[in-house]
Amino acid sequence: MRRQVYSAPMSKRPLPFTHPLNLVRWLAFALFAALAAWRIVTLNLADHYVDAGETVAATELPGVQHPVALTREARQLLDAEPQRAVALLQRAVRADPTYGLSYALLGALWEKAGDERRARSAIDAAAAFAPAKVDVRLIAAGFELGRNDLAAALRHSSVALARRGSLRASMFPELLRIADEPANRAAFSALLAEPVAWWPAFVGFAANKGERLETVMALYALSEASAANSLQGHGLAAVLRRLQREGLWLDARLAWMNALPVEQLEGMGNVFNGGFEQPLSGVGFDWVSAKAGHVLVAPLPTSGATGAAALNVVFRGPRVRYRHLSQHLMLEPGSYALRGRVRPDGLEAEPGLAWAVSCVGARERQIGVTEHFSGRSAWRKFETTFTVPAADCAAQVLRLQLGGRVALDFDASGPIWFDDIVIERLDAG
Amino acid sequence: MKKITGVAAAITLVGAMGAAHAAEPLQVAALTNVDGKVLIHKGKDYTVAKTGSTLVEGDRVITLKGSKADVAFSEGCVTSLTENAVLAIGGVDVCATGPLSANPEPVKYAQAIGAPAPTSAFTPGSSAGLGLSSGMGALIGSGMVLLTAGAELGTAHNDDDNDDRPISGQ
Repeated sequence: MRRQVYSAPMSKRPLPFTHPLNLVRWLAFALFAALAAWRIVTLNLADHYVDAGETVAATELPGVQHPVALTREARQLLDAEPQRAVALLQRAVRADPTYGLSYALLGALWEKAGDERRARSAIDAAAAFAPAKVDVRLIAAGFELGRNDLAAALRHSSVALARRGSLRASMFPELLRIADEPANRAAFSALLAEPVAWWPAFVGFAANKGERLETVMALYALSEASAANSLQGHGLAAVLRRLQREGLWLDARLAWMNALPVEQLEGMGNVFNGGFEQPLSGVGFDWVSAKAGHVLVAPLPTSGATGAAALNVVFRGPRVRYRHLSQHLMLEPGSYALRGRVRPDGLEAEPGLAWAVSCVGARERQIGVTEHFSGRSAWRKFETTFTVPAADCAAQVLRLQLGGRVALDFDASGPIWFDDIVIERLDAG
Repeated sequence: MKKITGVAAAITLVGAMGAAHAAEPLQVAALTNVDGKVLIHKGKDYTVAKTGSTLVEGDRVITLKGSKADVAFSEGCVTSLTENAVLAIGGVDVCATGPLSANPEPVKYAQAIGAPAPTSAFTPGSSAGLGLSSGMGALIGSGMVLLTAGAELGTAHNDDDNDDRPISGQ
């Protein structure tokens, strides 16, 4: 019997390289691969040189047009060889038409050369291609300042400030100088139509460092007029501190109250947050707790507290003349009672802690003080009365302080609790 | 005897009523047209004011940003408060004497924010130029004192054709 053996039909494909067409294809592929490899190597080498700061080396690599390297080299020639810088930047733009910094530098050079039209075109292209690049925004801001377009300059500067916080140190003084001029404030107002992340810090800077109170008030008013940039926290605290320092107590009080929600205004007493139900904000006429070594001060839950929390003060470190918790008051002249509750929890101090009320002025003038608290006891009430004089006492400060005269008196350790601090007028009506 | 006892009881009752009347501060004004965040401070706590809130001598009315209110005195005059103003309610003859403006610093504030300043507040040589301390002193010393920060104040008498010109320090 004859077996039939199945065999697959023989392939008719020619061997590689035997057909001229195939050979060409393979050669073309090999050439492409070689070019790609060469390109990858040289570009990575250029990147390496750029990263290492060797921009000249990067630009001299054969066949490489590295935009960053070219732009960096051009940047070093801006003043000395502007023509060569322009040529390098144009090469950079050809290498990467979306590299914004090249356009920005070209814009700056053309502006310097008096070519307004090309400069404007380049600056606009730079901002469009690199809207978040700080250097581009700074160059654009300088360009717009040169055109006296303060609003546009502020818009560019604002992006730069938002992207690079370290610019604040150099730019805030310049911005403050600009804000000192009333005619310039409309540009700030336009900027504040949108949220500006650095604005509270700038207003705080102006309040702390600015010489002109009028500028501080104007910046505060601009903030208040902007729904997106109303001051809170540190910025507001700095403005209020400045107003208080300048003796503008009513302005400070109203500005502070304006920032409070209605829920906190309703039922507010002469002492704000005397029940310590809210955190100590340190703003305006709220409690201000300055840092004091190893003294911990915070509202915390505890048994016997009215509401959710009472004030916990813990001395646990080296000697400190403690007088760091305070609140500014605006009591009218008359007689008052300062009342509260205390629970010393093993506080060792001689004579101890006390609450004092003083008139604020060039020097604090004490007008009332409670007994001194130390030792250990259950919750108990305390009270003292005092009189606010009609003269030289427009504002007062309520302060928690360690009693004593000599250094040894300020040796304290252990915790103590306070709650329900109120000041009530005795001769109202 | 019954008659004497009845008279004595009547005298006692009248006396008691008089004492009760003396203990309660007399309402001297009420708030109308309250709009926004307006507060009343009665010496102890602040309360959010509403139209119809009653005011006694010594109360303070505070209008915050974007707020306004009218204080209608039982004597017949009305004081209009715009934003950022503090009004101390006086107890004697306020409509006849008129309120007194004080406190120059808020005028700086008003200028800074571009708001019209109360025209009455700056009288050279007057107590208004002495700062807030003297303003607060004046607040206690006079029947009624108006303090304002960046606010325009106006007082109108009901029988005076609603003249809302800014008040003058007097």
